[in-house]
Amino acid sequence: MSGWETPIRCYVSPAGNNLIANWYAHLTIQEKADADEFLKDMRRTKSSGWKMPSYRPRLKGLKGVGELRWQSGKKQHRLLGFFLAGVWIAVVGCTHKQQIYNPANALDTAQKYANEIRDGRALPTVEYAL
Amino acid sequence: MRDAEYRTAFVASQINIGIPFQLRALLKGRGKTQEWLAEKTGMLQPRISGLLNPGKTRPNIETLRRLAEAFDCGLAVRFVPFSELMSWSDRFDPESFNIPRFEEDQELSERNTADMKAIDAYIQETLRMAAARQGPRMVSPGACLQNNLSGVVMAPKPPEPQSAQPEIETSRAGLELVSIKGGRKKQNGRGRKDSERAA
Repeated sequence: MSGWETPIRCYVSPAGNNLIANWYAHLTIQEKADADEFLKDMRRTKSSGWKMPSYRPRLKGLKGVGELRWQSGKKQHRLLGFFLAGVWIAVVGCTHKQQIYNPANALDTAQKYANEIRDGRALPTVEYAL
Repeated sequence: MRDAEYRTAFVASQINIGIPFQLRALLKGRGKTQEWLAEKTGMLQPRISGLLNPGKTRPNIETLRRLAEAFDCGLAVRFVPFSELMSWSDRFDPESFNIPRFEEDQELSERNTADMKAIDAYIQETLRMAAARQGPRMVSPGACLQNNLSGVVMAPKPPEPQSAQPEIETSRAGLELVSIKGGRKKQNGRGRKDSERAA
């Protein structure tokens, strides 16, 4: 697409599951509304404007994986992903509290999925349109 | 949006998520820092940081008013149909969003100019009608207002008086008309005494 300054696409597992859609489906109504607004505004922002506190480009211990950050209610929400050819690819959605990610393997999973996409092993990503 | 619960959440997200994006765009557009905003609003810098962080704080109206004052712009808080709020959310662009300060508000400037012209035209017409009735030389405040926005009415210098004192008449339209009838400057107290002594 698509008229966005910085498009966002979603990881699709080898089995064909859109894992970002699964993450979104489990959010509360307020969390969904906040995610919608946040991700819409981020997509309208040039990638050069993706900065803290809304975006951390590199996560400690990971190679080339960053995170989108926002708060909804009392939860810190994170969408882990990376840039590929001007498009940001979301691979894992999770929450964060006191240095701990939920699910606990979110960082390892994000690195694994990112590597799959970079190596061409994952299915083509789909546009974030939730 | 057909889900009432989502609609309620949508309104909240416009405040909790949308406001930080507006504030960040305003700061960027003005080339200002969080420290500058903290000083202008009288808030602590960490609080400003929180206001710029999507979802972190829920600013109340007084906080928003102080922020608007710091940016020297207006703040509209009003109830609207969902269609209007959705339209605003769809059109909002963090890359181009910027609100001019009062002095840079071009629409306000154009509006003032239009108002001034209308007032001046009204005064000119009133004076023209009065002149047609009475014929004395008149001073148009509007002519001066057009060139001098301070609102100070400056009358052109009248011709030197010849003999009699100037008289001030009031027209039917309620405007001051100055007609010169060959007057001279009013004598001061000493001069009056001299003339009395001479008499």
